[in-house]
Amino acid sequence: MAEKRKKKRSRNAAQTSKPARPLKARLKNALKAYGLLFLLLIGFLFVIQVIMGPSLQRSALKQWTRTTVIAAKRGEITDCSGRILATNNDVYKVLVRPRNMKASDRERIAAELSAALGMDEELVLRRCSALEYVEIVLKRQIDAETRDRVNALQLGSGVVTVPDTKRVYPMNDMFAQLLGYTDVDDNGQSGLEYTYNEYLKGTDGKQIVETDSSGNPIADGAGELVPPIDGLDLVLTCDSVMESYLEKALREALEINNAKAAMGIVMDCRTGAILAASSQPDLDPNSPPRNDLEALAELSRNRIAADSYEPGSTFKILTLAAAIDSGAADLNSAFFCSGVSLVNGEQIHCWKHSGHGPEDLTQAAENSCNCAFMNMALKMGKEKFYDYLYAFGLGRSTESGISGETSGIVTHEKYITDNDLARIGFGQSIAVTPIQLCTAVCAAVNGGELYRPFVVDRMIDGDGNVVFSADKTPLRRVISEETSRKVRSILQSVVDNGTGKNCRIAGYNVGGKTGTAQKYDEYGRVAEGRYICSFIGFAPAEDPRYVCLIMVDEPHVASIFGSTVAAPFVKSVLEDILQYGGVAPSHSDETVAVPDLVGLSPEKAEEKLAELGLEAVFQSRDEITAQVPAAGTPAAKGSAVLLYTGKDEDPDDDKPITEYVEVPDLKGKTPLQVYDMLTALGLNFSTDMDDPGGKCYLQSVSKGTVVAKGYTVIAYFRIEEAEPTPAPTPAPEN
Amino acid sequence: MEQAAAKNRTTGKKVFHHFDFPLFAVLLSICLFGLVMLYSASYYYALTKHGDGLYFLKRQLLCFGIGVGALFATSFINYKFYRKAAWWLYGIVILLLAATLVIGETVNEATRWIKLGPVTFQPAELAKFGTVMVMARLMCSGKLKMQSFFRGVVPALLPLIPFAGLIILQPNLSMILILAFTAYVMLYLGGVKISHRLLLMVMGVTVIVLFIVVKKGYHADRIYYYLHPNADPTGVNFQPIQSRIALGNGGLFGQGLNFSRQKLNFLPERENDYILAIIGEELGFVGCFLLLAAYFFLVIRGTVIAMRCSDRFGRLLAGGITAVLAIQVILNVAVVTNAIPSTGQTLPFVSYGGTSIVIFLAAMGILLNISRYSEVEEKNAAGTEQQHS
Repeated sequence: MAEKRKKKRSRNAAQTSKPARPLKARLKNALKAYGLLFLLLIGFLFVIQVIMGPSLQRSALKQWTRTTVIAAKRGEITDCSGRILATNNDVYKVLVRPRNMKASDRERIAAELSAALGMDEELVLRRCSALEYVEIVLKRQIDAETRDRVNALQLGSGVVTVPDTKRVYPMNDMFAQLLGYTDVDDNGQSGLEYTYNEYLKGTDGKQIVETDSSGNPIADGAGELVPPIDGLDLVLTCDSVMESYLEKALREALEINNAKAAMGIVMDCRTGAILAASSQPDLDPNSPPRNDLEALAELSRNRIAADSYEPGSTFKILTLAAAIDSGAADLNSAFFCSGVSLVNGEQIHCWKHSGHGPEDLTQAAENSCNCAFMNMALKMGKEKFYDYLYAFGLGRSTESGISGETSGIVTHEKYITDNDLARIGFGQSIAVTPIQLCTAVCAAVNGGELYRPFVVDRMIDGDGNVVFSADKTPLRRVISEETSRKVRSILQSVVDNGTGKNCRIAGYNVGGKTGTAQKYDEYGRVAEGRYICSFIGFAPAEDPRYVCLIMVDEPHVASIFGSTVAAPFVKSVLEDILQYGGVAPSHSDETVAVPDLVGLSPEKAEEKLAELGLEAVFQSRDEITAQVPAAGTPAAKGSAVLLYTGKDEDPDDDKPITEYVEVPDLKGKTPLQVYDMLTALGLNFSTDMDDPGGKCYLQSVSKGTVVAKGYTVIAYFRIEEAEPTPAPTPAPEN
Repeated sequence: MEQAAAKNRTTGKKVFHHFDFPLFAVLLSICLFGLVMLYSASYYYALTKHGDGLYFLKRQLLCFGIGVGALFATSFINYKFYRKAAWWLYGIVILLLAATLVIGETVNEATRWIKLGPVTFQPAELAKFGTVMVMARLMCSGKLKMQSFFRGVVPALLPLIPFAGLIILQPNLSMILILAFTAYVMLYLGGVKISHRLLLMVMGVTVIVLFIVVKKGYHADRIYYYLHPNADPTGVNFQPIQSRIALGNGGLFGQGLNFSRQKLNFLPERENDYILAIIGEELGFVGCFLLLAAYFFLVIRGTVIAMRCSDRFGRLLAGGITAVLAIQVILNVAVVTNAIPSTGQTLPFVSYGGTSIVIFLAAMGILLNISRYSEVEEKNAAGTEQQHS
């Protein structure tokens, strides 16, 4: 200690004269410490700049640049003659850039902007104050006038208007379901807009610019421009003139028949091209009811392709074609209809319970006789008949390109009985989409070749190059040309002499077939009073060009037959189309102008028509409120005029339709209970035992299956035994 | 002293002979480089904010001119003058600090600036060198027993209490931190025992921790976000993250002069505390390295000057000035590299800030003056000069 103190003292003494050495050493030490810290910091700099540099740079690219999307122009949709069905309007959108506004200006900008755009001021202010965003879309799809109004306010760089697009459909509701509609971002939501979205949409381009932190582009900053690739234009096979004929007819059919819906399709049977397709009621794709999703789904669904129906008698065309082609029937075949046929012990009635008596093939078709067609189906047998059905394209999608197309229902031949087969012969126990039926009938009358239906004829890029061109696609030969010729002549006879006479067109030979089918409710039971009436017609019958199918869903008029509910409208469509298509009349029928009959009594009208050589068909005998064809239209002598009354009478009791019931669950029931349950439903009961006892453990038709009334259900019973169940659970008593 | 002054007057040529020319040359290089970088870093901001791209450069040039004048002035004032005038200068600093609280301008709840016409003046910058001066004065006389805590350490620190008090009232805590570091280095140079220094260190850390715990809020947040560098990237950590991005974008060789992107208003304080980040972005790691090397050269020269000085006051004064320079550079670079939380200290001679550049240049002038009284010179002068008592 003493020594230390001494040292200290001596040092202190030295300080006065000469600086002590330790201070020098301490300065040196301090320098070393600074040096170490400098090295450490240089190390940090090295790590951040050289090692972490590239990743930091990448992470910052986003903040240094602003990418503006340059929207590609959505392709237009036109009909076959270039009439625009869907195009784009030049509209604008308003963007706000909150960081480019002075804080003191925000309220003024929000006030002026909200007034110009008709928006809530508070909302606009909130958008203008959202500093966490560089750019916010304030309002879309404003018109040029509003844009000019916004620009005239001169709100500075914080408010910008840029081009936007809006899809417009100049023909409004024409082709509504076929075209579909798009959402606000130009994505197809239904119809062709949806299925061809990827072609229509094109590829958006973009412009990348370097900006400062407020998003202002910087002078001589690097940039990149990726030009957009415009979408392809679609040219449809459809013709908007023909479509207008079809839609007009469907709207009339809908209104006059007081129906739920009416749908129709016109095809060129020589190629499979869809010329017109619509279901009514429809919607205006310019303003679809977006907030009523149920209505939107209902109105925009293309029932032509999406819905399956039991076709009823129109299906007899296919049975006829198959029977003739397979040799099961020919023009000389003789049938006898007693009003009922016995198939497998089941009585299946003809629609005319009193029977058609003896008839040849043509007469059977004219009469639409169920018995004769059951006979043909059974004669062909399952295997042969099914080959034809599949060859006609039933049971799977036609791949027409229409959105939401379904495949119909064809029960596999393994699972059907002869009873079912007989029913298929006249169009029951099978479900088809309208487009399937129309496509198949095209094949039956065009010489026997099945073509794939198509709706998009070609796609054209922005430079006018055709990048896709559809052509007729023959899929297979279904029947021989000779058979097809016979089918044509029989179907022409149906129109000339049989149930299709309401489709006679003066000067042209027309073939066709009526159909009436009962609908089922959601449980598969026959829905009382709910029918689908249809008519499929083609013209000219000797060399068919146009095939037109019209279906009327749930008509509410007195007389529910395809011949009265649908045929007159097919006639009006075919008549218009033949003239529009420049098809020369094959002969000159004597025509008369249809008189105006509205407001007359039935007797008076009948008398007036008889004078002119026309036939009157009444829906009910009351004062006439509407007529088809309309007054002034030329009509061939001998053709019929349909007369409607305002009264919505219940359909006749004498319906040409078999009723259907759902088979109940019979498991665990006693023989007596089973008998009661089945007879209550109008079904027949059968079992394999002479003296049945115990409880039912098996039934020939599983529960929930829909069968026709009078069908026989076999139940199998056994006496309850000690079942190998682990716990003695009591069997259900009832 | 009179003799030396006489020599200055009579043999003007000799003045520059003893002038530490390498120090002066490097210092001038840093200053000119700093002006170029300030121009580059501030141009866009100045243009968007003030409508004049030269806004900051003009003001900095003016202060640089004043600073150079101050440098020459102080380099001609014999440093021994400060030994006499230390307490006067100390008093002036105290008065200015007190005046700041009364007539100063309040920005962001801190009253740090006195406005003098077009320029603003930050008296606390003076306190850094005031601390050096007054401590050198106290510790050179031999009256204080540096080995003793109560008769050496405590008296040496006592004059700092008014500084600290007045600066806390502003408040300007990072300045307190710099003063604490400076005082610590001064005590070390003055010969305080390691045990006492450790004691002081423990006390200092305790005070800081207590302060942060009690006051919470701002400083606690700074620490929290320092420990969570990726939290709140648009708020508290915006500045550190943007600084990192700037440095990273520079890489090894930089984007080239004028090609910083971060200066386009992405990085706040780009012309000020964070100017090194822009230098790093434009000139890369190489540029930063060379700049730091230049600063370290100044520190080495400062230390050498201190070591060669013939008296204890001069040594402590030169050592202290060097310490302030070193500490400030180290803190600034540490903040820019996110090694420590943001403290808001300028990069000497380069950052925008009039007070900082004038006072630092003046301090360098003092250093240059001390360099002319080195032991080497003394020996070379063949003992013609007798060291005064």
